[in-house]
Amino acid sequence: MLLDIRNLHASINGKDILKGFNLQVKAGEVHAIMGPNGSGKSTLAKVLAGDSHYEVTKGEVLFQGKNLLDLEPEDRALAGVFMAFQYPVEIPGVNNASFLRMAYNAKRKFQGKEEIDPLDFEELLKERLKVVDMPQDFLKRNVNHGFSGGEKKRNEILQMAVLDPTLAILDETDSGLDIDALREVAKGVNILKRPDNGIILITHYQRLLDYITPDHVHILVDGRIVRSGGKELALELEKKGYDEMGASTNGHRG
Amino acid sequence: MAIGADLKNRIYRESFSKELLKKKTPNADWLAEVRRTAYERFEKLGFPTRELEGWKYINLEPILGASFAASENNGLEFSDTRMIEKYFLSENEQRLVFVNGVYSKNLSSVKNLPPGVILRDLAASLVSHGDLIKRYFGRDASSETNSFSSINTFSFKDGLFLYIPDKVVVDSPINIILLGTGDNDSPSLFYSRILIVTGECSRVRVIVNYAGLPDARYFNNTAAEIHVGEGACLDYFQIERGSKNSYQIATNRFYLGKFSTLETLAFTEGGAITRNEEIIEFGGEKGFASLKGLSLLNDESQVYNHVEANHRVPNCTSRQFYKNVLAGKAKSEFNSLVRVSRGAQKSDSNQLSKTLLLSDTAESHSRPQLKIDTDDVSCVHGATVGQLEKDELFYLRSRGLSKEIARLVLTSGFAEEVIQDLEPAPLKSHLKDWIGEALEIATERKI
Repeated sequence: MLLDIRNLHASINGKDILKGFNLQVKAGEVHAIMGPNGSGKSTLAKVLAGDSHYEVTKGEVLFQGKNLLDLEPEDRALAGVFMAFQYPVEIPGVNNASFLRMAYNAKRKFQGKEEIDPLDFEELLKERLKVVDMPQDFLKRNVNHGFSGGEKKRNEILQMAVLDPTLAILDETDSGLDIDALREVAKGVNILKRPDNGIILITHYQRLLDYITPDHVHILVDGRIVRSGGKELALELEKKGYDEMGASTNGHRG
Repeated sequence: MAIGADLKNRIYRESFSKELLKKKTPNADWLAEVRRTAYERFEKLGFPTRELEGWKYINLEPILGASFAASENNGLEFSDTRMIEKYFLSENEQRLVFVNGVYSKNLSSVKNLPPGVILRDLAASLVSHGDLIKRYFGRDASSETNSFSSINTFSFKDGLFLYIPDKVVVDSPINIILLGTGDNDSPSLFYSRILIVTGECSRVRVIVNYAGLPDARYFNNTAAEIHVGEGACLDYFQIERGSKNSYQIATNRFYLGKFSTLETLAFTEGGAITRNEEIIEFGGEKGFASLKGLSLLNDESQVYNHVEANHRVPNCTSRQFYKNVLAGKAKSEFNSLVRVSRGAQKSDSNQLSKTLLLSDTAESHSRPQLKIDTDDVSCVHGATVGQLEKDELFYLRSRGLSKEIARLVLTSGFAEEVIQDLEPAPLKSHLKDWIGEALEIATERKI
């Protein structure tokens, strides 16, 4: 088992968002979590990444058998958890390539390896840039600073490609993308999909799933999964809408 | 403070009447008149008090109360190049070194200048080019508002003179090193005087290093007059890395001709008190001035950046971008006034100051001001003071960087934005290294 989330409750500013969330992810699987606005999708992503704005009030999260919630954000990242942000943060003054190298070296150090030679890293970056189909000058710019929405999302996927996580959580990576950008991002994710890692796609719309085929689809309403199924569930949802699918639960704020 | 001021007042007066009034400069008799004007102006102004807007936050007690003695003849034996090597930028630079305000020929190196360019110490230039200097020197002596500038005018003994004829481009950067060497037993007081005149469509880059020996105690009172010719480009970068016992007050006046371009930088790291006053006078249309500042302060260091941009004629542009990173009990002030005179249509100005506080005990004041007497202008101003953004920290940590490294990366990024497009490259890489070192200390202290 890669990830085992049991009865997770989380709140922000005293307001309960996740109310008994359960999920098991095995190596090689792609899970899609779909839900209306306010259902707790992004909260889940941020709690898993270790955002201190959120408080976990109950439940546990095991990542490869270890208690993930005990770890600092950086230790989660080093252990192999990666979250692609819904709203990637702009960091003026920090060069994209140097940032990637720092992050990459932090991981190497954690793994007991030596820092990578700058020239070797340049080669590696060139290779990984192809995943997101971005020009070289992407690296010379400051991290996300002045990037378009699509560029920011691609930059998240580039970071993912460089850091090569065991578990990737993509928080609404499809939102705000036009169809071409969506296709590019999906292509990147598909390249990075492997038998030994897991991917959680968090999305509001079904359209991302046209390009990335999930093994499991879960519908999240009001902090709980109300239905799980195969990829056909997403299509059913597309037809019926959240209201009908999650009709039996209270408090949804779609 | 009053006692200190009175005492100091007397010292200045005595030194003035005894020495300077009697002193004649060959080929520059006019200078005595300028000095007298400056002295009269100083008598009228007196030392600044905290009731004055421009001196509200600065405590001058350490300067006025301390026993700084004019010491321009001290330190002349200093010839240890190794101590100032860190201020050297490149092999091809023109280097002029002043020790406690006096030119040191041994430490300087001036070579291969284009024909017609004059680059030498002011004392010698007054003898050789008195008439030329007279045309530009002390233009605002009678209307000066900064007492320290007046004091400089009637007290200076030496300094720098740079003259560039029309259409001449000086490729090699001009690196001025103003070194202070006093110590606690005999703190030094000196005056640095800078006069730069650039001709039409000329181009030059000047770097002024305000430097001190480690732990040296000194007060460097600098005044510069900089005339930028029509269509000329001038870069004027001040690098202030004084010892923790150094006091530095600089008054810089920039006179900009039609279509001229000025770029300045005031980089301050360390020093007890640093005050920079930049006065921009647009004298012709389509002038452009970009002023940047970056201060990295720790412990009890203080920096005061005062800017006055006078848009007297139409179609001129001024940009101000000042950043501070404050740790410990450091203090910064950004006090900027953009004045748009009647008739100066299409004036375009921007005043922006951002301060990052790394400690709860640091203090920052920011006052961008506008006085506009005309319509049809674009004047923007803003100021922010804050701590590191939690969201930014989390973003970096979520990529595997430790809290400490994340803080350092964000702080360096904040600072380096100011010098991102800086040229020449050697200066930029020097500054980057210094920023790295300074912030490693500043952020670690907070962790």
